[in-house]
Parts: sequence; structure tokens; C-alpha cells
Amino acid sequence: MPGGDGMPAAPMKGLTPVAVPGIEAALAERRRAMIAKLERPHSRACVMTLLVGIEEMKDNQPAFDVVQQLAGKYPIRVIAVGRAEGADGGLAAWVNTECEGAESVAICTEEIVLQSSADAVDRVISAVRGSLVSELPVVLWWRGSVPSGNPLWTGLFALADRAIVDSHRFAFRHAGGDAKAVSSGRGHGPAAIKALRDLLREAGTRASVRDLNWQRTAPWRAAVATCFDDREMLALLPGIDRCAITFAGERDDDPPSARALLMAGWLRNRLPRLHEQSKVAAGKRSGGLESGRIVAVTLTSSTNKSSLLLVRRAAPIGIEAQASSREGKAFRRWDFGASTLTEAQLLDGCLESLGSDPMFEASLRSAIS
Amino acid sequence: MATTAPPLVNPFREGLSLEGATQPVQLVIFGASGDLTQRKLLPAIYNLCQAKLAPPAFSVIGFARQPMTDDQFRKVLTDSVAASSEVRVRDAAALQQLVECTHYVAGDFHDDAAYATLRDAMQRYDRQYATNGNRIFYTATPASLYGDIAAHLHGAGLVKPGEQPSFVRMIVEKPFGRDLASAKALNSELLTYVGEDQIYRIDHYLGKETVQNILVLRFANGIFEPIWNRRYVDSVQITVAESLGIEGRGSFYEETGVVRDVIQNHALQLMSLVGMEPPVSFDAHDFRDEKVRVVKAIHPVTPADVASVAVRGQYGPGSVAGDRVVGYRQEPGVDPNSITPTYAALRLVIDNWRWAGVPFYIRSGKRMPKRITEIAMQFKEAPHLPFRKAEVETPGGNVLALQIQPDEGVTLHFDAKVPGPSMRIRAVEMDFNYGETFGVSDASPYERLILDCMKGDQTLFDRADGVEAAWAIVDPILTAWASDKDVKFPNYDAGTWGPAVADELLARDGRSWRRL
Repeated sequence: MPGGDGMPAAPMKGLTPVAVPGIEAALAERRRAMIAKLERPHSRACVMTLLVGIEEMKDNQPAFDVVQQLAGKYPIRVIAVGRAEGADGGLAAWVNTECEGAESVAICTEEIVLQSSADAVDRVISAVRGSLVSELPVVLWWRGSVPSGNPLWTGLFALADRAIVDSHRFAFRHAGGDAKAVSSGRGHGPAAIKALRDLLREAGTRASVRDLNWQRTAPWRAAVATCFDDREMLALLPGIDRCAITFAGERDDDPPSARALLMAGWLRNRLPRLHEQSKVAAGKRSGGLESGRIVAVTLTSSTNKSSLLLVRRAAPIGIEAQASSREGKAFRRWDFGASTLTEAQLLDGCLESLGSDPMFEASLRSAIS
Repeated sequence: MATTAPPLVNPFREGLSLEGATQPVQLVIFGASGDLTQRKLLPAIYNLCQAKLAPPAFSVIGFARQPMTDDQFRKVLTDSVAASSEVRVRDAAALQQLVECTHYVAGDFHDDAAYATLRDAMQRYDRQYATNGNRIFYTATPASLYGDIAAHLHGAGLVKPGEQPSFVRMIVEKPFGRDLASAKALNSELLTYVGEDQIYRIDHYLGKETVQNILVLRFANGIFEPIWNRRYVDSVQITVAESLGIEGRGSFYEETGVVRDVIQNHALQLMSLVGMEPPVSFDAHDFRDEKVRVVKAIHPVTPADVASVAVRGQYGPGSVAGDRVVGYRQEPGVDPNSITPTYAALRLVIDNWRWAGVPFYIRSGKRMPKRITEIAMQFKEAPHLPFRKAEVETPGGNVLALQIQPDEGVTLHFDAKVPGPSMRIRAVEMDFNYGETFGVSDASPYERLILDCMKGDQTLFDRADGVEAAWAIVDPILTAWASDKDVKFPNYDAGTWGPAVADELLARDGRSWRRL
């Protein structure tokens, strides 16, 4: 079913096409209908506006799928902004209200979907500005590549208090290459790290920036911390002065992935003497493992044989760790269960924690560039 | 002079999310075969493990008189997890992991040899699970055993005051004593063997999210604190009402009664959170200092005051939610002539600048029309109403009601104009419902409090002086009621809001209980 202005069909089920000026009235109508359906008093609750900025048209559906997975978890207003082709400067809008939860408690999410052609960014930003919930935090989830310089990003970020990006998706044109020769941040970690630092600079004190790719290092960080909870391992810490991160790559000379660099940055921030001797290198991909993932973390001493080796296990997914003494004798093993976090779970984690993430920012500063 | 090197600190812990934020630890549960362990503790421990909030290096040891093997206790664990409605995610792998690090030691609580066996087992499992000698003892036993358990643990070398660098903590369940004297004696006994900073006196009410939200409401919002005082507040009503009876716990309740069961702990906790001054920080010391200070400022109840500030009741037969129920004296295990109160109402005042002259009315009872816990701040009326009185439906001040259970939220009652040509004023409610904003809290109070203990955070646990201050308030009432056996019970029907004397308590002040 076409939306307004001859625009595309509704991108998600349950959406009702509306003219932009009628967004609020349509949402109020949906809310009244929902309250009637609940058959009990219901107070409207809202804790934030979540802006979803979608750079590529092909990403519309995956992004909307994530939004729908979050519906019912937070009482929020989601404004998803996507691209549509051949609209002749047109702008289409749809709305929906989703309530989920137990009978006695329902959490309602308001969804506004806006789609426009590339030359209607100013119109879409004005529609977003008029649809923000007053006085509540605005979080921007940018589902795309390096955002800096993109007019849609510029317009949305100006409205946001917090931006969530995914440096794993950052892609860079090869120097002198044609438009198709684009490589993602998986193998262009240093450029991705620089882009993240630029974003932090752009945000200044006005807004904070989070990275889903940083969230993906959480199981590794928790595993390292847990190993050093062990008193014998902790006693070896003063001698530990070298670290090595191995990530899944195509070839041995692949440039480091952003995720591996962030992990190295965290280790160097936590143990500054690692600045001198830290290494990030590619290891062979195996078992269809996605490029850029961390596969091993090693902490060693240059003065004795003590070490801590953490290795990714494929099945069941997890991290195995082994500690060796000053004499090189293995004395402790750990087995950490883990699971591959979905994009919705990663986004959920970023929405759950409030404000900035000083550890992310410090690790970014300490990452090898 | 030789200098001591500072202890090594794990630098990788800082900034991690809650997941993995706790140190390795061994959790020993005394009373492992009991009801509390099976209904609350084991499901809470499972939830912590499933959510990866318990440390990876972790083990559980159950200790009780009942002979059981490890496998039998593991069956108790799996059964209690299977039966619990508080378990959120049924995760077979997480349960199996917990099962594998769960053990059991059978022994008498008074037997030295049993503690020696426990010590050997703990040392063995400490090595096996690399828990670094960190221990938490949870006393899910009758209160009369707490002192003995601490003494035996000390005798077996398992606890000592201020133990470092490993930590040793002891979680002590309520009731903490049965009067002021016994609470003092128990504090004194426990403090012989462990330090105050190692004792975690648990009142699960403080683990409830909405109870903690009282603090956020008061101290994170600028609009409430300026009017949170005698100039604007007329009175405060705290209601802890249960629709249930004593649920087969006749002999327990005969010894306890409503004052020991609810008022001395839960109700006074709520009163202290509403009445306390802003703490310098939410740090355990600062927070508990202020909480204790306000309890100590409650005007002492003298034996001569009791009749004018406290009333008691006991339910007779009646109907609750459409079901006919027996009276208290007809419940199994209850003396047919019992004078144990199942209802009490108190009028307390706080002697400080903030609250001077503001009555705090507290009521709690069994077999009330519904289960509800709330704190209602009744504000003073507007000084002058420039409207014709006949058009005001319910004149009265505003009420800010903080609902603790079952529907957690905040409601502000205020007056609004009814649309139309005439000036008609009607009371309306502005509602904030926790569930509809944040979803229902996932974690049970036990889960939250056990996790806090693992992290070494005593903020939400009672301190010795706090417990004693609370007993000091109710002790004269208990003494007076115990000596005055000439009371006409039952004096309220099950399914009603309590005895007429409770209404009279407020009527004397020109007030009435909120209609809930």
C-alpha cells in the first residue's frame, strides 16, 4: 500500500500512513484505541525519544526489525528515518502504537516512520523536530557507516543528547579507489578509531557517544577481570607488561579491526605499562567466523614466563582462559560461557545505561591509531 | 621503619557493568532445608547466576540438621527453581552450572564437630572453586540460633572481626530479637565474633525497587523537598495491609504478632525513609546515619502514653474477597483465647525541626479487604478557597501517595475544574505507574540484597543502632499490651479495615484513615 505522495508501501506491519502534520493526532487516536482495548485505566508513560537514522535503503528493514524487537520493552517514542527512491522530494510518514506486557502492566511504544528521498533531508529533519517528546532525552541510533559529513546525521545529531553508532559498520573508500572499492571498519580499525574520536570531538560536552562495537568487547573484558580476581593471578600482575590481541582476518597482514583496537585500548588504559608492548594482529578466520572478531587475548611478562591466555571457543560459544606461573606452568583454567549478542540486544544495552561511558572514552583515547 | 606494600587491586574491574562486578565467593546457607531457602534464597541465587551477576568463581554450601547428600540438596535446588514464580529465565545450562558447584553439609547447629566438618568442606571447595577464602554466611534459621551459629563459626576459625584480605560476611534474617533487650543481647553477641561492617541484617522490604524509589523521588527531584516538612505536610499515613491471614503459621504468629512481624521493621523502615534528612551521599555510612537519626528522633512512647498513641486488634470470622474465612482464634495452632494482635495502629511524631507536630499514622493488619502497602503524604489545605463551597466535591488538601505494593507507583491527588459553564471542582488523580514506565522489576528483593552483600554494599541493610532504635519505639507498647490482658478480642471482622478504636485514634485529631 503506498504511503503519501506516491511513496513506498508501509515498511513495517501495523503502520498507518499519515500526513506529517497529522502525526500527533494519529498517535493520539491510536492511543485512545489502545486504551479502549486494554479495558482499564492507562496512563501514558514515555522516557525518551529514540531517533533511528538509516543511511542506506537496504538497511531499512533490518533496522525496523530491531525497532520492533524493542517495542514493549521501553515506553518510548521511536522515530525511524529511512531513505526511499524516486519520491521527487517527497516525504512519507506512518505511525503505530504497540503495547506489550502482562495484563496488569502494558508498556506502550509509539512508532513514527519517516521515509524521504535524498534531497528531502531538510523536510525530514523538520518533521522529526516537530515530533520530539518535550523535555525528554533524545537518543540517536545511527545505523550506517561513518556518519560525519552525512546531512541526515548532521540534522539528527543536532537534536540528540546521545548518539549510538556501530564502528563495525564503518566503511572507508580506498585511497584513489572507485566508489565500489569500499571496505568496512572490520579491516580498517585505525580509520574507524579516528572516526570515533572525531565523533566524540563533535559531540563535545553537549552529547555523548556510544559504540555497539565496544559493547561486543564486554565478554572479553569481564573474562579478563574475572581471571585477575584470582589471588594467584593477581600476584603475577606486576610482572605483566605485554599484550597481544588476535582478531579474525582474511590474511596475516590485514589491518587491525576496530574491535581489537578498542580491546587493546582498554587493556592499555587499565595497565598503562602495556603501552610499550601491545600488539594487534590478524589470525586466520575459521568456521565462518566473521572478520574483525576477537579470537584471542594474551597477557605476558617480559621478565618471566607468567601469562594469561584467553581464547574464543566456537562451540559452545565461549571464552577459555589459562594462567601460567612465573615458571611457565599452567595453574588455573577458566571457562566463560558467552553468546553472540544480536543488534537488538546491543542496542538495548546502550539504552539501559545512561549518560556517557567514561571507560569507552578512555579506551578509545588509549587505542592504537 | 619497614613499609608495607599497598594491597594489589584488580585494575580490570573498574567500569565493568554489573555483570562480573562481584568477587569470587563461597555462600554458606544455614537452614538450607528450610522454607525460606527453598522459596526465596535458592531461586534468587539461581537468578543471579543465570544473569551472570554472581561471580564465575562461586559455590554454595547448604548446612542444616537434616541428613542429605550433595545430590539430594541439588535436587532441592532444582525443584525450588522449577517451582518458583520468581525465576525469570529457565536456562538449563545455567542451572546445571549452579548445581555442579552446590554442596551440602549435615550437622547440628550446636555441635562443634559439625562446624569442623563444615570448615573442612569449605576449605576443600575454596580450593576447588578458587573463591579466594571469601565467605558469606546466610542464617536462614530461627533467630534464636544466630548467636550460637556465630559463636561456633568463630570457634571453628571461620569468622573473626575485620578479616582481611579475604572477606567474611554474615547475612542475618529478621526478626532481629523479639524486644529491645534481646536485640541488644544479640547485637552484643554477634559483635563479639564479627565486626559491624561484616553483618548484613536483612529486611527484604529495603530490597524492593519502589522503597528505594522513595529516596530518588525525594532527593533527586527539586520540587518535593521544599514542601516535605511541617509547613506543608498535615500528616503522613503508612499502611501495610495484608488480605491473607496467618497461612498456617499459627504457632509462629502467636509468638510474634503484628508489631514484631511488621511494625518494628517494615513500617518503621518506611517511616524512616520518608522522614529522614537528605544524606550527604548514598554511601552505606551516610545513608544509615540519617536513617537511624530520624528513628531516634521519634518521640518516645512511655507506658502512660500507650493507650493514647497505639491501638490493637484481632480479626474475627468474616469474608475477604468473597470468601468466608475463620477468625484468628480459630486458625490452627492458635490459642482459642489468644490476645495476640493481628492489627495495630500507631500515632507517632518526630521531634525535630522538619516534622514537629506532624503525626505519622501507621497501621498494619492481617485479613484486611486488600493487600496494599502505601505511604500517603497528606498536604495542608489551601489557606483560602475563593470558590463557592457547594461546588467543591471533596474539599481537602492534596495527597501524594507512594504505592509500594501491589501496584507500584506514585499518585498525586489534586483538584480540577469540571468542564462547563459553572465552577465545579472535583478531585482527580495524576498517576505514575512503575510497571507501565519501566516494566515490572525483574529482581526479587532477595536477589538484590544478596548481590549487594556480595559487592560489600551495606546501604540497604540494617545497622545495630538502627535495629535497637526501632525496638525502643515499640518496646513500651509490647510491654503494656502484654501486661494488659483485659482486651476484648476479636474486635474487627476479617475483610474490614480494622477495629473501631483505630478510627477513633485519628478522629481524636480530626482526621480519618484514607479509604483504600
